[in-house]
Amino acid sequence: MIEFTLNGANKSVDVEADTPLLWVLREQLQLTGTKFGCGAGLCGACTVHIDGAPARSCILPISIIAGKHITTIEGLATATDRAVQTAWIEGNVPQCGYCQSGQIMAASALLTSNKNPSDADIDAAMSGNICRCGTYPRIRKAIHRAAEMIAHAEGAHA
Amino acid sequence: MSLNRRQFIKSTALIGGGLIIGFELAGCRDKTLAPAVTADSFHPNSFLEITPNGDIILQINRAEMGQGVYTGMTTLVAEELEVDPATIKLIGAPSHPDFIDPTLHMQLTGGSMAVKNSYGPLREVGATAKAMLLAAAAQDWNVPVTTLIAENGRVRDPVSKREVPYSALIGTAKTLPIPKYITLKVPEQFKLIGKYDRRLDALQKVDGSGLFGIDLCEHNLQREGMVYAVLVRCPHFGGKLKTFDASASEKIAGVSSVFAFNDNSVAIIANGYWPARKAARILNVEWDKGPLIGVDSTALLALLRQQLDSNDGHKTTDEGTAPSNTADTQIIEAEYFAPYQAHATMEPLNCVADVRADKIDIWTGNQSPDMFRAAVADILKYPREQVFIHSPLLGGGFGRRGYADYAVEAALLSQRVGKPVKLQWSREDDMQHDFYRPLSLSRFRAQLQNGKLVGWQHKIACPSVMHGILPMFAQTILPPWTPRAPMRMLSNLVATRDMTSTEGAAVLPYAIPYLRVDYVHYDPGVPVGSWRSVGNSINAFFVESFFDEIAHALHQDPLAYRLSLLKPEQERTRNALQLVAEKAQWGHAPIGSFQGIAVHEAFETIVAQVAEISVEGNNIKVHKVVCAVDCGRTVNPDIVKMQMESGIIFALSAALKGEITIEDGAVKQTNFDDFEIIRMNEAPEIEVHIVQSDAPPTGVGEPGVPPLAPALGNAIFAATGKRLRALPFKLEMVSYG
Repeated sequence: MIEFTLNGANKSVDVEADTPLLWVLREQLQLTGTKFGCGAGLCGACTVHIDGAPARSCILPISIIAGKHITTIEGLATATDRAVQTAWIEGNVPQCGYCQSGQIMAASALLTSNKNPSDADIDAAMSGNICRCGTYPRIRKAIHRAAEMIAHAEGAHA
Repeated sequence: MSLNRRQFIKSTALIGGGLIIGFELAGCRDKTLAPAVTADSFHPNSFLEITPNGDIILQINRAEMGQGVYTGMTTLVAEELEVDPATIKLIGAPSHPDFIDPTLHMQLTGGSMAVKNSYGPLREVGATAKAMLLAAAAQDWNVPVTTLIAENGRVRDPVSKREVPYSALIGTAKTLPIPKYITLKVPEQFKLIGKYDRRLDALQKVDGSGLFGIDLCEHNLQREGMVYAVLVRCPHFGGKLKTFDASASEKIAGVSSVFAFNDNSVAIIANGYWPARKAARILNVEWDKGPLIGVDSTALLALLRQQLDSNDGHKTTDEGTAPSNTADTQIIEAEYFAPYQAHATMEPLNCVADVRADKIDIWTGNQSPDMFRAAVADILKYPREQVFIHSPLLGGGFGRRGYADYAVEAALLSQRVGKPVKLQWSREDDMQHDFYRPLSLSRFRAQLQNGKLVGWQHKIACPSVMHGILPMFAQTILPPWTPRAPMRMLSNLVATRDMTSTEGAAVLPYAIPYLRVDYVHYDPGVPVGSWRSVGNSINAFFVESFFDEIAHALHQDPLAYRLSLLKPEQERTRNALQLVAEKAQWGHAPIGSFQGIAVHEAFETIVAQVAEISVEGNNIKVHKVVCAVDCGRTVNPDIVKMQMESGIIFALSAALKGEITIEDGAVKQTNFDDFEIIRMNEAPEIEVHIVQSDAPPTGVGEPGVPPLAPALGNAIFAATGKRLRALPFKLEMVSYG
């Protein structure tokens, strides 16, 4: 039995220790927003947050997740997360949409650690996530837009 | 039913500010409508229903694979129905005669046809329902229908000030006959078409709630005894299973069975994907490598070259008279090559099949419920009416999800194990068992006299895409008892003159006194298929690159030379070229940057692009691509832009990054480390400009792809003086083969 925190709730699962987190999320816990893309940590479709940092759930054995805090696309809730999702919708980012959960998880982690990322910061943080539909220019714009929204909201509260 | 429904249209006269059409309205062709999604709804045609609690449900007969078709289709209906598109609930349509595309004779998403072929019919769907709701209100209130107004999902009477939502009228509307004639809006009345700029599928794609094929069963089938399957397939095309030893695989916890499947795979059944995959990795298996044993990409190229040398092929185009060479005739010859390409949709192929004694249910992302139904029904020998294809969102299609191989596999597995089966392909399976864009070799010979291009000869050798598709189309359209042999003969014949092999090369926008195009069909046995824009993506690269060579040989500016040679009727091409040149500031690249231009028409849409690049060492950096598109009247302008951006980056991956190569009759590439895709740090800035047009809409899903490779190659020539004639472009290796 492996125990961890998922989207704020305690979970325990009984699976083989080498099972990647991705398949536990999808098959045992029915959280299908996290996607399977390559199974080798190459495309980013399976990106989740582990203790706040982006990680590739397709290559993470469930055994090393014990005691950690996992956030998936279904658990996004902070003001930064909302800004990212809003900017994504406003900017018509998704096409087929399959990679977008991973893109959004990567973007939200970036904006949480860096409130005003430069284009170079975006390249560094987002180049691990493949989009076959080619939404990159819109993702870039949406990240800048989300940064503006976050700054605006914080300014309003200051 | 097979007649083009447009042939039934009686009148297109403009009367009273609307377009009156009649006779056979869209969505009512068949005697029995497609089943409604809910009971007690107003269901005037197969597409649309309005429920008593006010839901408007639209069954969409096109696959949403990113190209924005759900939004496009809904915009057309909502325009005439007078509702906010965001209030319409969308469902993928099942197989039914009313959902058949009028030109393809089946339900299929491909050929950039969705908006083009739905522009009339789906407006009729909305207008018919609106007419009946207005008539219902007129009857309920006993007032003339002409005094009533439909607006924002409600009917109101400006005289009596009465106003009700559509749902209040459906009881009466259901009792009314389908009108024989309806009035469509004229463009001046459009509120949404040309303006609506939201994407209706965006929310579910940013919160993880959107359901793709891979997601369906986890929510609704897992409790019904569903098992997971993976297949270990023979990697060598045409090869067979020789022997296998499953003793280690069977010991993996969760694995229930391992068995030989078809004659070229081993199936592993387990209680989850991971145990099945683990078992697959340690399976001990030996293959009979089959007919392509020892064959690699270098050998294939040599074989294609041999074909061009020795085989006359099929004369596709022969216009004008071959000019005789004179003392001052300059001959330019060149050979161009494009390799196999994988679709690599982000969602690896998957399918859930539940085969029961009396019915088969299939849940899978697909581009044609009709083709999938026929393929599954015929191989399992079920009546087609007993096969139900459920179509969720597609995590990319690009042509790959028009091939039903993965659904057939899942159905056979479910039949074999007697349970619902979820078949999941790995990325490696997906990469190595695709229907690839064909490799293609081209030879050009141009004759120049007195500074003029007087002769253009082009010979192409490649496998035929239609050779594989034609039998699939025939199987879908014809009854299952139709003999297969004549169809095989026909497809063999069609293969030798496949128009997709020469599309974009057989007809040129340029006036050249002598044009000769020949096609040599040669298929080495690697499966090929439709890959976003099909032959266009290959031939635009060949033609627009070689044309650029001629412009440079004649010391002409590539844009000016294109414009000077355009046929007079190529007004749209001229406009697109001029628009892209103006917006890209052609001829004024920033210092250190270089431009290349190309234009191509595919699926009646014209796209011109300027690529702006710089080169450092052998590294090609694409800074910006400016694009002009003429796709007639736009329905959703931002989706047009999205599709151009998408096509450009998709094509850029094929022009700069991944290629599929063959080794020992198998695909060498396995995953995104050896089949690379453009990433964020390599994605250029993209600017899209739409040519304003009142012409009927044409498609945008594919036409953004073809001009990119030649525009880029032409820019590389401008930057380096090197003409790269093989994809993907590699500066360190100018020759190939």
